[in-house]
Amino acid sequence: MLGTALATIVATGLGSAVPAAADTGTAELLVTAVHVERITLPAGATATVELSDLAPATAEPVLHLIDAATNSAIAGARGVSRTVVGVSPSDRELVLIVHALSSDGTGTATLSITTSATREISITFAGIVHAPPSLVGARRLLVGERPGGPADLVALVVDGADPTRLLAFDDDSGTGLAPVLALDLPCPAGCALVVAHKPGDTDGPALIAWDAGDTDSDADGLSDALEAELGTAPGLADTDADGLTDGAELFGVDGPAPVLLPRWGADPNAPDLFVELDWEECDPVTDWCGPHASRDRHRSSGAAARRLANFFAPEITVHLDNGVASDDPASVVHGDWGGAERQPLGQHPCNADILGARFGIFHRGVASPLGSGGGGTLYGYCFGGDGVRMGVLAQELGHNFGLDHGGNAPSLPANCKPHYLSPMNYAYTYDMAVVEFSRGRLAGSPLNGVALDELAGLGTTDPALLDRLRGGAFGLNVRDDGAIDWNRDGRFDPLVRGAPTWGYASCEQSKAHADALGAALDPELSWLPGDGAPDRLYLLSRSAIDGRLDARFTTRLDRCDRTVDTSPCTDWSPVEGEPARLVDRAPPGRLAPAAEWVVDADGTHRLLVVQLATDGQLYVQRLTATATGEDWDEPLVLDSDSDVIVTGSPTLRRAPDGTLVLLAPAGGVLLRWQLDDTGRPTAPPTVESWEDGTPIVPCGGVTLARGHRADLAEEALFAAIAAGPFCTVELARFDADDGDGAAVWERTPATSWPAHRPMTDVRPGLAWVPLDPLEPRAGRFYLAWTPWPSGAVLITHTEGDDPSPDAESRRLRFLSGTFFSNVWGLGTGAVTLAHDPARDTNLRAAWSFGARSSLGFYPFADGIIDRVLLDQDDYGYLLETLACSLTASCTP
Amino acid sequence: MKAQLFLLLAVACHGPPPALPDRCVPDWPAPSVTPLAAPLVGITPAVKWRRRLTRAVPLDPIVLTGGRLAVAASSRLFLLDAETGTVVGGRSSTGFERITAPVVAPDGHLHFAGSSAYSVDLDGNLRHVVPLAPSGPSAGKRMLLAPSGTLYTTASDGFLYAINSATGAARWRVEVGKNVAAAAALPGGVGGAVHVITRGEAPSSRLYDATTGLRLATLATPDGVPRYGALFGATIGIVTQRPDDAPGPYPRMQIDVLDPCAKLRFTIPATRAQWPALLAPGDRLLVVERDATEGSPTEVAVYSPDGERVLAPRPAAPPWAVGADGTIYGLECDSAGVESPSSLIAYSDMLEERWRIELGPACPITTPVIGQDGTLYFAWFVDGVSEIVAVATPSPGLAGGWPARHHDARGTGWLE
Repeated sequence: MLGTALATIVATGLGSAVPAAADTGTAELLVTAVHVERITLPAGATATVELSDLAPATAEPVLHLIDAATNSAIAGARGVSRTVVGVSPSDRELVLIVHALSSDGTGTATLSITTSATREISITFAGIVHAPPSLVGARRLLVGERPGGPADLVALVVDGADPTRLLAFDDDSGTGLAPVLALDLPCPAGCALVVAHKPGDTDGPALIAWDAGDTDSDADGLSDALEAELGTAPGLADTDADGLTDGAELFGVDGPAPVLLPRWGADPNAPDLFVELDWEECDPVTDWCGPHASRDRHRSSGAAARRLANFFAPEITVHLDNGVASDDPASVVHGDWGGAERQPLGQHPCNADILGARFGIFHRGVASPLGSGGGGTLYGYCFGGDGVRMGVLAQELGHNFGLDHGGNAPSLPANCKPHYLSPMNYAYTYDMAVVEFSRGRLAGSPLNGVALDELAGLGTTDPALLDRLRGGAFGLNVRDDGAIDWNRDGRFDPLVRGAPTWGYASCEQSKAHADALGAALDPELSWLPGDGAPDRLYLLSRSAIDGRLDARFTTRLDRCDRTVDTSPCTDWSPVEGEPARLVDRAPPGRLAPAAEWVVDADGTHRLLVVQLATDGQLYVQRLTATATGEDWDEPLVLDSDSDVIVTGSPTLRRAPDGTLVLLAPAGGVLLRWQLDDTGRPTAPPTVESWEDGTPIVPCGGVTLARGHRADLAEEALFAAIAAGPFCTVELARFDADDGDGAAVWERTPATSWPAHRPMTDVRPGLAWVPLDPLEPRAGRFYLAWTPWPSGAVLITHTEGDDPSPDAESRRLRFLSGTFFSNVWGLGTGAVTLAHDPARDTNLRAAWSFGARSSLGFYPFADGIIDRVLLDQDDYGYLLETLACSLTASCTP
Repeated sequence: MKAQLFLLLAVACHGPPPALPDRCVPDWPAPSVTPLAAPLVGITPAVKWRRRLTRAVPLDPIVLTGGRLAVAASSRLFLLDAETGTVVGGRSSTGFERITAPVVAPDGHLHFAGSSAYSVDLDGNLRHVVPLAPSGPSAGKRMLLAPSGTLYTTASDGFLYAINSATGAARWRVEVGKNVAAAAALPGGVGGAVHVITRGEAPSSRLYDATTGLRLATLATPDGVPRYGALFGATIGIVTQRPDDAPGPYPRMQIDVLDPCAKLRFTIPATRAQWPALLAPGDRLLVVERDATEGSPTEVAVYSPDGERVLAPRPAAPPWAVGADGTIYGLECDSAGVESPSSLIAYSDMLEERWRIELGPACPITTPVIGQDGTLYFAWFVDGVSEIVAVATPSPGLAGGWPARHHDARGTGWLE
């Protein structure tokens, strides 16, 4: 009598080509309401239940009275009826259910319940009776919620021939409020099932699956036969490898805090990513929390949730519990799913205990105010950040999957790779046009800093991409035909050296490799020719503990010329990790020393070191290399006849004419000495002036460097001089004779600087570097400095060295400064740059970081590195780590 | 009448001090009556322009001076032509460190702070840069400017800094504590006192002598619960708020109004979610009320400076600013976040709606300023970019009282 025609099958949406067992099947049903009452029958009492006043007249109610303790049938009736439940020896709870016999049999009725008193209720009843042939022989019935479907479900199995005969019943033994039925005996021929929701819930879909309870090879809660029906892999507990078992994705995870994965859209055959996104409280006492003073101001909106989800689509479906109910109850993108909540101000610990029942299922983030940064655990499940700019949250969540700012190891994860269009890339994190992770579309355009084809660019003329490179974090000169001026010299050449990751963000292009050399500051780098032994690059610095001068040198640096993959690429004496050697007999001093090699009478190269002692005198001390270290001469006062008190770091360079020039600030003036190779002044110091005759008022930081200028036939001596009330840096050329017999410093024009000039009150680093080592006369200046009064160390360079106002390329014109490393790379003291064209291929740098003055040596300060940077397809990595990240169990 | 009362209180507070551990606010401003300005004629309220500015997020407040708008975002101060919104200049902090919102000195120069105190002219040229301290602390979100020319800012090192606006040199600093992982908050200054709030584990609400940095008073209930200053009025006193433990989405603020000696004048107890919004002319206190359920309609009540409720709560958008002509501007956003459409609604002093306009697709992230020509400016964040928005209104500037969160178009946050 009851057949499949009575069931409204919405869609199975499931199934496979594998024939299912006769006792196995699935269906997605449109679930309607039945009437459910719970009646407490006191000991010694009877209950009478009557159904009457049916409307319409064709309505076909079926009534079941069930023992709530055992879920077994007590009585059943059909149509207008009167049912009596006999005396119970003890208190007894009954479940009363009224459902329709068929989808055409729905209606209303009056339900009278009499125990000690009579209670009349007007009820409506519907419910679907479903009787597929494959139900015969089933021993188990699973019910799963579906998105937008009802939550509070009941399930009954009845005798199809006599639907008043209840074979099994369950209310909420499944996940949450869903039922699970286990039959004592296999479902007999003609058996039928009723799955319905309770009054007050809404009609909607539910997934029903039945099987005979046979073998479950992968222990995912689904029998092999059922998995064949569902299309999941019987031998894989997690068919789609997203870390969620097939059973959990279809029927949820029950417990005190049930995890309703199917309601939130889990699909066992497609990777899902569940995210709980809490939010930081807005404190209306200290902040403006919008016109509504809402404490939930920082909660991510539905629109933001969709933006985050789009980053992962379609490979991975994101389901975000952001605490915001969706306008669409069937939405699986986001919702208020009972986990996300406001978090108090302060730190937001994240661990398995906090995730509770969601551990191993959800990632957990905390949305913070618009404009804030973020953080994410590498290969973990915790993250947080700006809850509006979803590029930030996508990046932090991306860290959970092992993605670094430049991708993963095979593509070399340098930050700011221009062809890596991913929110992981700091250059694109805030670019609203970057709405997905990288798909590796530019993987065929490798970039190698020592061999960049500017004409080829990135092998694309995609105007959107080219515009992105012109603006934003890169500011590159890009032609419409795709040519890119990688080395920023204003020209397009077929083969150049350049820093493709150089950008105006936390691009870290200049610290691609670093040697950590302990707590020291105010460094000075200087080469010392080896006289048959290997040349040494000396690094002098001051102990951060007692200010004493110390030294170390490289025993080999050549590996740093090739790649940063060798770590460390530099060998030091003393070795990295060991304290540097103290400079013998050096007087107590302060600020950065100066050093330059000299030639002794016997032709031996020695290093001449000048340092400022605490008494304001400059001391000269010479170093002689030994097999294992160095010998130091007795320090001598530079100018014992003078009462000059030096106030800033000295700087020392050999001028192109062979003279040794020493500059040092002394009070409000800049003094210049000329030294012989023993370190003795050849004349009293002179007070230095600008080209217009005005004295230079130094601001603590002066640095000398030799270099070329396109309009000069010979190499010249240049200085970066921080001067004036704001310690503004000037680049000046030393002119030994201005025509009137005066030696002056000729400043580069103001138009050669960006709007905001570098400012520093400690010694900056300055170096001239050829654009091409094979053409040593054409180059550019690099300048790096610790900002005055404080800040992250910055670096810039000129386009070239042509000062002509008519020049269109390779101009002597500084670009805007950018972070040497990143916005957090706070500098302490002086910065030193070194480049000796005879010995170096790259620009070397050293400076100290942070409050602990951690001295670092940076052999690729120009960002030009012989390594191949690749775009990558992020999605492969995301999928690969989807499961292990849930428990922070990935193996990087 | 009220002025006389306060004068007496002030005199009394300068009597023998030992009886009271707290001291009164020196130089409490004399109440004055600023007549309402006539509304501008021929103005049709409408959005005049929107200008995309930066991917960074503007700080509150934006300020107005000499035909320029000054907006701080991340490490940069932007200077815009107020007429057109065109960026005409700017200045980054020297170390690209984050900076505070700017404040305008009476001479028109702009001040802001990062790890240093900066001053620039209207073209962005530096006037001075002076480190706050050798330790390189980071300034908080805003500065205050007293009539004496002293700037105040809090910093990540837990200190309140008083800075000579002419030179940038620190006059003094005093340790005031911090918020959770951030500098203490500066809701405002009044007379000779600067108000500092800390939240978190050790919440506090204190007044400091603006000249010396000495602590004047702790604003707290007798059992030690901080009363956080929100609004300052010469007649009404110090309007404080203290949230209770109600878990709802909106604060249920107990509103205690204190006199210049931090003594309780009157209380507006919270029976549901409420908070003090602004002070309209005559120091009439505008209080927003609503039920604790999300999205509940807002109502606004008006209280006299004596605490008498002169207007029962009536449906209205939360007051956002008060114009010089007495217009109360309410701001309505569709949801709590920054990504919801918003409307500007003009009310009379009795909260009768005069007009309303839809502002656009986002909810402002700053409080507004109003220029003498009636243009109201604010910032919001749309599609990943911050925008400055100009709206034509008939109000010739901001009103007296405490008509905006930062008190005036210069962002001084100081009642003088």
